[in-house]
Amino acid sequence: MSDIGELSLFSFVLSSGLLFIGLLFFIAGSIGMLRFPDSFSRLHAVTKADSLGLGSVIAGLMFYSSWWQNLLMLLIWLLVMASGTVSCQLLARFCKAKQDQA
Amino acid sequence: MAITRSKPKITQLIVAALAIALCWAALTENRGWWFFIPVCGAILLWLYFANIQVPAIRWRALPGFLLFFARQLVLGAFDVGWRALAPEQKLAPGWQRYPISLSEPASQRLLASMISLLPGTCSAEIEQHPPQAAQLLLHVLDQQADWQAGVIALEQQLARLLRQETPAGTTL
Repeated sequence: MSDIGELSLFSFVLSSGLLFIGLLFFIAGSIGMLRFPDSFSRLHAVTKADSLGLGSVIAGLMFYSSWWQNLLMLLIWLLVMASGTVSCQLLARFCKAKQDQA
Repeated sequence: MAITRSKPKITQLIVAALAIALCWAALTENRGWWFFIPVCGAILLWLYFANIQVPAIRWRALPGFLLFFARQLVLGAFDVGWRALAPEQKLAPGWQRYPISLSEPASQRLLASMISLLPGTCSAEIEQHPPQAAQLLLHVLDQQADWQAGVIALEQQLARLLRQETPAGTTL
């Protein structure tokens, strides 16, 4: 709790809210992955909800870190988003090709 | 299509150096800048002599593009999250084709990747049939929803942002 003591109440509430929203998006994405009917729709759930969820978690964590750590987290977010969309595309292409074969 | 590579411009090299410096600061806990200078110099020389083009963008269009993309990202995540959590599922997934009007293969790939973050769309393939325009094979979550509007808007934004492309309208 000693780290939290340095934050003002306002930034503490804001960062907690952002962390919570990020968590909700991760949960929604995971539920979507379980509930959606086919593998293509599941890809939608994972890529979109998780990239915004991670962004929100990172925005919440930014209140606790120094500027270069924030920069590192932003870099991680960009890389995760980029790899998420590219791998989504590749998975969709692979599933489609397999479906067309069958 | 013959692609002749030219040398990167000085402004492109400066932007590349700034990006490399930011990555260095993040990855090395903001230390070791004396070692950064020769590394950065070597990378810039390599970019220059190997004719590697850093994608040139129109800086005036950047803030608008970032705002647009952030908004679409949030809308897309809300859309898919809502569909996942709603008690009865309102899905009508299916395949759709979209003719791309961007000309460069690199920008077409960028469009295909970014579409996966837009609400309700996910790209699977860029189909090239040389006489016709390239087509994007998209998986759409809800075929009743207006998915075209988002894709067209993203394409216009990309055409405004990238210098290799010419935007459709003259207003910028």
